[in-house]
Amino acid sequence: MIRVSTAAVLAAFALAACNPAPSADAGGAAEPSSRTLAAELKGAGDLGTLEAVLVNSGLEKVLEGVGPYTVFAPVDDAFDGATAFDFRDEAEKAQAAALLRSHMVPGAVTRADVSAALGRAEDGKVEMRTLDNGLITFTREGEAIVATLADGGRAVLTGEEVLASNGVIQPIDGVLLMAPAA
Amino acid sequence: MRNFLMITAVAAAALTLPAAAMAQNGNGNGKGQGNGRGQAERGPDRDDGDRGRGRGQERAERRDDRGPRGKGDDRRWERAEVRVQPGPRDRDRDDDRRWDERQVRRAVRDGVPVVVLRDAPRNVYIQGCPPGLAKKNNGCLPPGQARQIARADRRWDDWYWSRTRDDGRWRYDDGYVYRIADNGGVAGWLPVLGGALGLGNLWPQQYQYAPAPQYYTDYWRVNDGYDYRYADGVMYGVDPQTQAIGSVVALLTGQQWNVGQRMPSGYDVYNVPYAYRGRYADTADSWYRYNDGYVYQVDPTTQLVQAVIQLLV
Repeated sequence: MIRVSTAAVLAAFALAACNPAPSADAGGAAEPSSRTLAAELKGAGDLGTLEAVLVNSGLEKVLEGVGPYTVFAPVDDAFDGATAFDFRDEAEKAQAAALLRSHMVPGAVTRADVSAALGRAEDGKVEMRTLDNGLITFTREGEAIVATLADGGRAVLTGEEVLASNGVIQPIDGVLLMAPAA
Repeated sequence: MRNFLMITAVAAAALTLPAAAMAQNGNGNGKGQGNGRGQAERGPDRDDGDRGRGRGQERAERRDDRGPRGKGDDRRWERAEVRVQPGPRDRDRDDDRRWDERQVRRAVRDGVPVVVLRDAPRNVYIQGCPPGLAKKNNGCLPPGQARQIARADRRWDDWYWSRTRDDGRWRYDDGYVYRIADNGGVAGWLPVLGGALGLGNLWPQQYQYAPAPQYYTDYWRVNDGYDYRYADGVMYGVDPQTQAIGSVVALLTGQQWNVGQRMPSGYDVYNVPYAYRGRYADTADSWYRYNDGYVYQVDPTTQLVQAVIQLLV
């Protein structure tokens, strides 16, 4: 059990009063797990398709390594009919790698971080750079946070985020790397 | 756990110091030779770490710069800038300068150089015929493989590979993307991650790369005998004997963050790794953003990058 003395608490309050308060997105009370992104994907119930895509892509080491990355992870249902081909197919390894790169951003991004950024955005939207040099734009629709890939698809952040040892998994209900309708 | 944090707080004004090295790429076809005046000190094991095999000839003039002082720290910083022609990954950047300034930073601590390479080859595409395609008149003869390319009509493929490359039409086939010329022939080609650049495949001889800077191999804690190479936003581990790709180590944005310049777009959200959130929390005066192994301090009002922070754990 961690004991925090009254004096320490008062000192902390005093410091907080003197210094500019960190923004709400700077902290993050939740503790990350000791499992990597790759391990968390494997253990997640509704992210099995993306885990198979990861294996097919040959990028497992990336999600087992230091990172950190944030993966916007389409849930299994999101892949139904998303494209004409299967990203798990051995013939689609390059496409599998492309899919992952377009759904990943550098660093650890919690949902609280996105919310805080949206809270201070004057135009109600914020952007994140993907690892294939794309841009994901986040907006709020009611309580939901919506992610839209430039020239691509749209998805809502859904379920519970997973804080892995080397990044964050943010489940989404759609595949962002979708070709615009013809 | 040894936690070694190296902080480089470089004021924007420091960039105005004289003798910051300037180099200019040539025609974008050569290999960086680092043959400029004032050769920087080179480490014993990564001698070519900042020469790379980048596009264009580099005429670097470098200057040693004493970094953080005191406390017995003999760390030295060397600063250089190079100019490189922006590649396709730069195409939607905030500015429209034809030439994009890059910084090369080197730290030397305890006599061991830590090379921070802020430049890398930009593979726009490899001109000419890909392996296995014969050249004929305007472009490459399209039988066999190329005919297969021409037949390929998968909307997703055409859309994706064209959106991630430079202007023009691109087609994917069997591990490569092909630039389709106006006459329907193949104007150029590139291997892609997961395809020709997939695990177990031999590194394509014509595909340019930069030796991964030691900072990257330190940061991503890789040291298993591979030859580590950086190309187009990916760090690979390549077997030095067989030239086979044995590992894909890291994905990077490859974006350039230079002190005194505006933060690139796409970093509106706080993303600092957990371990550093206590130290680098956003405040009214400073934002902190992570990218490619570094944390950057940014002025929230001007969006100018104030400092580059290396994270070595």
